[in-house]
Parts: sequence; structure tokens; C-alpha cells
Amino acid sequence: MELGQIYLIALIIIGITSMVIFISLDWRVSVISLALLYVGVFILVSISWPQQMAAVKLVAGWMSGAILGLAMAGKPGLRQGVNILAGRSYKNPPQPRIISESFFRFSTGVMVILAVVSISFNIQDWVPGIGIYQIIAGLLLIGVGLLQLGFSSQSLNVALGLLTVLAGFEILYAAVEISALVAGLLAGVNLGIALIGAYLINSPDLRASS
Amino acid sequence: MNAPIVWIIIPGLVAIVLFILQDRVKFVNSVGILLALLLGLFAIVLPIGQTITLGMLSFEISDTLVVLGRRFVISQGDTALIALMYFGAAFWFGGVIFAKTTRSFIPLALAISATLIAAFSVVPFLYGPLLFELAVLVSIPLLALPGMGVSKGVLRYLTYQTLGFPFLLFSGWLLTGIEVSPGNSLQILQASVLLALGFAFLLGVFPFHTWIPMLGESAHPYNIAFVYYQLPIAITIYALNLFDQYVWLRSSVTTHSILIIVGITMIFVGGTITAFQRHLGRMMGYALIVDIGFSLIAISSGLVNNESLGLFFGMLLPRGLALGVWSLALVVISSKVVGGNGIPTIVPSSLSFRSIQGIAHRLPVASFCLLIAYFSIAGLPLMAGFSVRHAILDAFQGSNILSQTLIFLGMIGVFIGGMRTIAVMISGTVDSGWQRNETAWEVVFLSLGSVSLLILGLFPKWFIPVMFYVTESFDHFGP
Repeated sequence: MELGQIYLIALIIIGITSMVIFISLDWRVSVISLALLYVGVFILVSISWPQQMAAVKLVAGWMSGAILGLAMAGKPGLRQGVNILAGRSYKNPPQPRIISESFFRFSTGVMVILAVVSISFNIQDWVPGIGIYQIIAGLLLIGVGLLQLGFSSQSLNVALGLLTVLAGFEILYAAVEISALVAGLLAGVNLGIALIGAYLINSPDLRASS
Repeated sequence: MNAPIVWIIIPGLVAIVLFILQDRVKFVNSVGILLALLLGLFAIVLPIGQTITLGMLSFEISDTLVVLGRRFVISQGDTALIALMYFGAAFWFGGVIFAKTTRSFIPLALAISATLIAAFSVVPFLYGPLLFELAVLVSIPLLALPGMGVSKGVLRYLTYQTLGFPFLLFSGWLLTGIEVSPGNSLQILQASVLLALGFAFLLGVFPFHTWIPMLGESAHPYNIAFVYYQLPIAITIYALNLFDQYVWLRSSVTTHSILIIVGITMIFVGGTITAFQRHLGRMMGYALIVDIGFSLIAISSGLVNNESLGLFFGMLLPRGLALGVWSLALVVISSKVVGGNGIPTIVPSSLSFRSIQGIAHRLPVASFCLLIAYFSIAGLPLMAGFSVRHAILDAFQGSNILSQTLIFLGMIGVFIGGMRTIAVMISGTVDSGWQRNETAWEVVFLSLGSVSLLILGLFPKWFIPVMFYVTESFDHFGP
């Protein structure tokens, strides 16, 4: 398989997983998609970085997903059989509402994809040495992540949105900056956001220490 | 031994140990206050890069620590900034005893201070925003306390701060390119736009200011006041380092104009909205927005005049003291309104005008001290904030009638907000007469803070020249 085809597959993975994170109303699907998304990020970052350094993104991303997944799994409401849909709790999920919300989210996501594809070729002139797959993937993740942030004010969705935006930024930034310290700090920021997301998910149920 | 180990690594490690030992409240408080004071004192007395002899012992504190091929540098010129940060932290740690805040306040606040210092000492400086983001992440547990709901303000704060740092990282890369080819006007434009956006997100510049009042309403008053104080200082110092390093950025007319326009907008928007607020915590947030607006004007004047830059640092002492007194008064009022359970943020509405009607009859000292802090930040004559505000407006050259009108309207808005607060606090009938329900220690601490604000207002020459020393960290400012 040629490298170009691998990068195209990575782009497709990123496109699908970011849309699934945005559209899905089930936190399990979102967290698994996040883990898959970082596979695409790893492939596209490895265009500019050595694979050993690019693997830091993969590991940090998977750990972030694991932290958020564990936090959701440990939430008391879930243990009592309450589903968390788009950050809201329903004892009995209203089916028509789910379909219409998912369709609306999908439509806005498609609009972002179209906008990203249309502007990506212009951006290529601004950042020397960056590949078109990296630009499309980076902007796509930033766009869908911002949509995710705009659509919800629940802790899990905000954490997922921020991680998605950062993943997009990391693909773009990898093309211009190769540094072990930056890789380490960005991994720290990713893990920090996941840890803070986990804290915010569970903090209402924690005992006040004051 | 080197300086970054003393002022970044050691406080960072101590913060981790104190976090683990947070149940031992007195020990954690004592160590935190003592360490912050010592680090501030060391910054003043220890010479960096020179041999120090203590009896038989002789050693030198070098200025550089290498981490993963990059450097953290704290030179002799930075010591005034370090002292400012750690004395500020010690001040906030000192109030913890009366602030009824969480046990993790001192460990987390110490870690935030160390990370912020790391942010403006890393070389190349473009990695600084990543460390700001880490400091923001550490501050979240202070703003969303365990056992309480997560407010939208916390999520917005986290979102805006996280969206801000990528802009600064990218602008850092562009700035490096501009150093190589200074004539590239497109690259200069791109870097300027990215820088402006990055700082707008981080500093809460209009229209990205909404998290400031939202947090003021929902977070613990003392914790948010600490974040209000420490974070903007560190980010502004980082921005000043940028101006200091890049002559084209410092001498650009556009930079000067943007700072003035944004500063005036923040004063006008913050001030006018304050006039219509009905929550004491939100008012504290809007008052900070107005103060940041004035600091931007001071910096814009400082680009051409080093003394005006000193005015920016001159604002910090009155701001810190006023925020401290204001937040402590809010804690006292909120805990008494809720019912003395000691956790003021359980009911954010406890600081709404509806809840505090006639509160001055029950808590006269806390109410009076809150008003002194309020009018100090508002810049009322003879209060601590007045002299510096007056000097900033005096140094604000070339202002037109529109700018002056907007600033005037903003300041009037803040005053109206203060007058409304007084009216609400003393409203209602006094059936049981005036009573004092504050504890003796609360009265002593609040009174000390308020008297200090009055003394700073009456004798500004005692403190403004001291704050001017901090400007020595910036070599290239001025004509």
C-alpha cells in the first residue's frame, strides 16, 4: 500500500470518528471513537515527526479516552441504569427526539466538512511543508470539535470537544514544530483535560472536603 | 543549584506533598505561607549568577535549567517578577484561615504559581502558553468544588483558555519566521492576528469575557479572586516579554491602537454592565474586566514611556488587596446568608441582591469593607485604586473625545453599581436594630485590609515607586 493511500485512510478514519463523537448520544461509542480517532492522528503526525515521537499522541490519546471512559463508568447514575444521552439523563430515551437531534448534528457536521475542504487548499500556501491530508484532517477536527463545544455544556461533551479541537491543532502544529518538550507538554495537556473532564463528571457526586 | 529549581521545581514538589497531606490543615497552611514568603524573600536577596558565601559554604545559583533540550531561564532581571508572584501568593495563602475554602487551596495555588513562573521563564518563550494551559487545568478543582454542580462558567473558562493557547503557539512559530525575514508583511499580519486572538481568549478580552462574571457568580469567592489576580498578571507579563523581545511589535502603531481600543471597550462594556448587575460575585468579575481595560491602556502608554509601564505594575497591589478584601467580605456575607455552614458556593444566589437586602444591619463590618474594596477598584478618589487610575489617564496621550466619553461612561457605570449595592445593603426596616454578627477575627482581618486600602489611597507614593522596580525586567521599553 502506498503512503498516500495510508494517509487517505487516516483522513477517512478521522472524518468518520469525529462525526461519530459529535453525533453519538451514547458515551461508550464516543469514547471508543475517540480512541480510534487518535490512530488517524498518529498516522498523520508521523508524516512530520519520527514515529516514536508521533506515538506519544497515540498513547496520550488512548489514555485520555480510558480516563474519560472510567469516569463515566463510575458515575452513580449509570450504575442505577440511567442512560446518559448527549450529556442528559433519561430513564426512557425519547426515540423521535434522538433521531431528529442526530440528523441535525449530522447536517451541521457535513456543512463543516464542506467548508473545510473548500478552504484547505488556500491554507497550504500559508504553512510551508504541510500536506493537504494534514490540513484537511486538522481543520476538520477543529471545526467538528468547536461544533461539539457549541452544542453542549455537559462535562463529558466539553472534554471530548476540547480533545477533538486539540487533536486537530496537534496535526497542524506537528508540521511546523518538532520538539520533544512540546510533544511532552501537549501530551500533558491532553491528559490534563481528560483528568479534569473526569473530575468534573464526578465532582457533583463527591463528598465536600471543606 | 539553579534558579528554576529554587522557584519552579521545589514549590512544585512541595505543592504535590502538601496536596497529599491536605487533611493536616494547620501544617499545610503554615508550610504554604512560609514557603511563599521565603521564595519571595529569596528572589529579592539571592543574587543569581554570583558566588554566595555562607561561612564555610560557598555556592552559586545559575540561571538555567535544561529540560528535554529546552531551557528554563530565571535571570537576575526576573527576580522582581518572581517576588511579585510569590508575595502575592503568600498574601492569598494568609487569608485562607478565614476564607472557609477547600483544604486543597494552598497546594493547588502553589502549583499554579510555580507553573505560571515556568510559563514566562521557558526558552524559547513560545512554549509558555502550554504551561499556562497546565496552570488553568490545575485551577479547575478550585473553581468546581467537590459535592457541587459544575457551573457553565467553569466549562466556559476551561474552553476559552484551552482555545487560546493554540493561537499563541502558532503565533510563536510565525514570530520566529519574522525574525529571519522581517520584511514579510503578510506573516507579520498573520502573527499579529493570532497573537491578538490568543491573548483575547486568555485575558478574557471582550467579547471573550463572559467566563469572568459567570465564575464570579458560581465559584467560591476567595478561590475565584485568587484566579482573577494571579492568572491575568502572569499572562500580561508574558505579553510584555513578547513586546520587549520584538521591536516591530512594540513600535507598531497598530499594536498601540489595538491595545487602546480593546482597553476602552473593556472599560465601557464592563462598567456599563456593572451598573445593571444584581449579584455581588458577578460585580467583582465585571470590576476586574474594567481593571484589565485600564491595565491595557497603561501598557499601550508604556510602549512609548517606561514610567507608564510602571503604572501597570502599580495597579497590581491595590487590585490584589481590593480583591482579597472583597472576596473575604463575600465569604462572610455568603456563609451567614446561607446559614453558617461554611461553604458559600452551595447557594450562588446567596450573593444576589434579593438575598443581601438589609445585610448591612446584620453584618455592618463585612458590608462596609466590601464597599471600600469595591470603590477602591472603581477608582473613587482617596481610595487605593484612584492614584494609579488618575496617572494612567493622565499618561493616556492623544485621546479623543469619544475615548474620553466611553471611559467616563464606564467609570460612571461602576459607580452606579456601587451606589445600588449600598442602597440594597441598607434597605429594609431595622426591627431588631443594628447587630454585629461577624466573628472577632473576621472583623480584625477585614478591617486590616480596608485600612490598608485607605492608607494606599492616601499615601500612594509609599508603594508606587516600589512597584516600578518590576519594570527593570523589561530592558527595551520606553523611547
